[in-house]
Amino acid sequence: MLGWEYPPMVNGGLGIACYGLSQALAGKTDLSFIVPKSTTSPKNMHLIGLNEKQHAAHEVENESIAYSKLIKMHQLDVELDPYQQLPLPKKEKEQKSQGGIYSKKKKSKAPARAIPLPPPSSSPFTFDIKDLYGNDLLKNTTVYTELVIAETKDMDFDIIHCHDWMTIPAGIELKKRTGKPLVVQIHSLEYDRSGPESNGLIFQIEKWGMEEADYVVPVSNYTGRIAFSRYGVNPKKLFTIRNGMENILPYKKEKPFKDPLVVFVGRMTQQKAPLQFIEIAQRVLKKKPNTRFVMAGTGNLLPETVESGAHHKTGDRIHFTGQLNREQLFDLMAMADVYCMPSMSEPFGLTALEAVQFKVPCVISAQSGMYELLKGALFADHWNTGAFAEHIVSLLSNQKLRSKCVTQATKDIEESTWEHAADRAMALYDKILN
Amino acid sequence: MPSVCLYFQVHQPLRIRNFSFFDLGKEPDYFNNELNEGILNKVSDNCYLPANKLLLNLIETHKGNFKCSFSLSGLVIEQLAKHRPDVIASFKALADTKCVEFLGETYYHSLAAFYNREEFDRQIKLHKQAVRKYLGVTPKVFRNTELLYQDAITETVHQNGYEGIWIEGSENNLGKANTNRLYRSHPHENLALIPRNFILSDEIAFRFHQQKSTLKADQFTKKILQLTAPQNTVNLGLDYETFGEHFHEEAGILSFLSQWINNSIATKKIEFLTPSETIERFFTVKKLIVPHITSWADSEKNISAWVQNDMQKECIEKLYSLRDIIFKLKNRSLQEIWSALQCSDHFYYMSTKQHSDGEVHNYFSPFESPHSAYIAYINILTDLELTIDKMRIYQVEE
Repeated sequence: MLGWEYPPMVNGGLGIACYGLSQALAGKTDLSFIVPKSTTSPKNMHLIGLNEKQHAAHEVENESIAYSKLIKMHQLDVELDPYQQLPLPKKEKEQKSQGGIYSKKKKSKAPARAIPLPPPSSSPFTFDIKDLYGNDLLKNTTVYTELVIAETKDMDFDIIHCHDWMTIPAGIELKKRTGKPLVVQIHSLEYDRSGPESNGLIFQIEKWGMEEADYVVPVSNYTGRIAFSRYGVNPKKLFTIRNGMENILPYKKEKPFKDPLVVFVGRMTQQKAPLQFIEIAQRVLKKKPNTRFVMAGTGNLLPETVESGAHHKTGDRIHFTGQLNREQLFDLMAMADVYCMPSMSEPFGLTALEAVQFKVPCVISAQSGMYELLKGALFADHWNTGAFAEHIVSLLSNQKLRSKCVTQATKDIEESTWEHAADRAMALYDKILN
Repeated sequence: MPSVCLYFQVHQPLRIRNFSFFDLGKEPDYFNNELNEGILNKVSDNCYLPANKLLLNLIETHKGNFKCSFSLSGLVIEQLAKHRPDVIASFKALADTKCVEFLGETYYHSLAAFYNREEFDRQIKLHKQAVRKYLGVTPKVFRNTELLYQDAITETVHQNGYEGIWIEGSENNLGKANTNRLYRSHPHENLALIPRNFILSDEIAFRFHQQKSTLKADQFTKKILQLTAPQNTVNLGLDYETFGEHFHEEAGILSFLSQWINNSIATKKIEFLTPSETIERFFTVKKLIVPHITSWADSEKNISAWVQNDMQKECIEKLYSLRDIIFKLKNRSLQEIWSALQCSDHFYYMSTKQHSDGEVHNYFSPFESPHSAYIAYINILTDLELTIDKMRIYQVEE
């Protein structure tokens, strides 16, 4: 398996899903998992973190087919931040020199990169990515590709299974060199992140990967439909494997106030629609002025979202927490009265499963993988903030509806285990090999 | 002979903690005591003590020919009294020379003048008490927070016994009138207006050390003489922290100060006066009509450094909307917390201005961004409201 995130290097659902799936698969098959960075060594499987060893310079000679194709695709100088995960612009505290506070800062301009180039070093180096989605993401994916080739030279394997676009060039390269079948699992697409207009480099890589793949594994039928309609994938190649979930011991936590609490969890990016949530909150507040909201997460839209909350003079009703750790996230779920996910496009929606485990009723975008899984949730089209607000108000005022939703949703997720996902994966492997 | 009226602003806010949603209802301290004490100590050692010592020496050397004035916010007096009595003592020593005047301002370095007249009045009185208590003098001339000024505030200032008030010597106050003269307030004509010569003040505060060139004492004296007529008063207003904190001593800022003062007195063409003496000495030229709020901050020189974007507006309106209930509860510690939250610095940190103004805001802010400053502040207001609610229930039950 080729992956990009693995705990504790987790940015979103990708890392959690890779962890859950690989752990469950490890008992069923012989699994090697190559990631750019790892700090743990899990049982039963061979987790290879490329950061852990010294690499000889010749390992990155840019001779791969993938690399030459990438160069052709990548003709424009683009700054990549596909996950728009940059938090609030961190300010550089100026060193107070004798020049005093008012001396002008020199703005350093990053040199323009025409093509992604691995380091041109002649000496051994370590592949040390500080930020998985930093500015040199494209360079890192090409270095990753080269290093995966070197790493797997003497490895014996039957199937290549890669996760999301960052590992697609490596997957294709391996397939071309070894002739082994390629499975491309899709946790999220550029279409989800950037909307219908997406057709940039990442979109191209995704499309290329799905074309080269023997099987494409979306995490929901919803994503499968996008792969078909937007990327032109042959539906016969689609094989949905839904995510499982970590089993949580749910608990309840007392809120520091009596007011009902509606929770949003996600990156503050266009995909997760935080500004829609502010609008939903305004509509809810009109009907139930004592409601409070928490928005957990960070991203490029955080400043705008915060300002929008203040603009409506509801900053004391909409609380921003920044990115939370697991413990804080669970504490939040344990306090929540409604979980709301208004995403523009959500391939799966792992956090909703967590909310359900905490017995929190959910209001979710119909443009999501949850739509086909959770009967016990209320849905609205992502643009319809009025409908979202109505659902939330209903759940806050109708105890019967709440318990009906929670009971049904709890039933709905019974099958959502990683064990189940791993069985699906094994079934796919069998189908491919036999 | 032109005179120089020198005023130094001394202020340190009570900065708030990075208060998060998860802190709500846990009764933690709102203020970042460690940071505040650390900064207070640093500034005391880098600036307040050495600069006070230097000025005291100059006063003694020149036997009454050197004079200046200070404005200490109530918040800095309070913090110094608690943590650095040695600094209070050194200010007291300056006050005792009678060559140093202390100005009145709002105790909490607040924007109360524009949000609640009663609160403005209360804070002027509180501040006067503190100055009397710690420095043994009664202020006669006023400076509102960051030289914020408007016709509407003059009545309260006058009622509190003040004879004059500092304003920014900017076009939005003066029009084309000369900065180096005194003016009169409107509509109540009881206050003399002292315009700050910001071009010469900024020469030190902003441009003392620029691109390898450092301002020389004799250059500065020459500049003052060139730009002023004999009947003029050059009113310089500076953050005191300029001397040793914003510019470090190694840059020569303190020796600049003493050289310039020595130099000016040596020319026998410049006289130093306190603000009260300046008011006594010079006739006012005319009334200034200032219907809109002006200040010494940013390039706009109005209130926009503190109240401009949605975040700032929401916070300040919310804060003042709590005043009535806070005072009804008659809980002293709650009152003090609410009062310290009025400090203008909190709103200054939330400014989203860009470019050179933005850089200055950024320099002073302990927060990562204006948005995190806002989030911490609004969370604190939320917590304060929750506390108020609890106390209300408690009081009703009683």
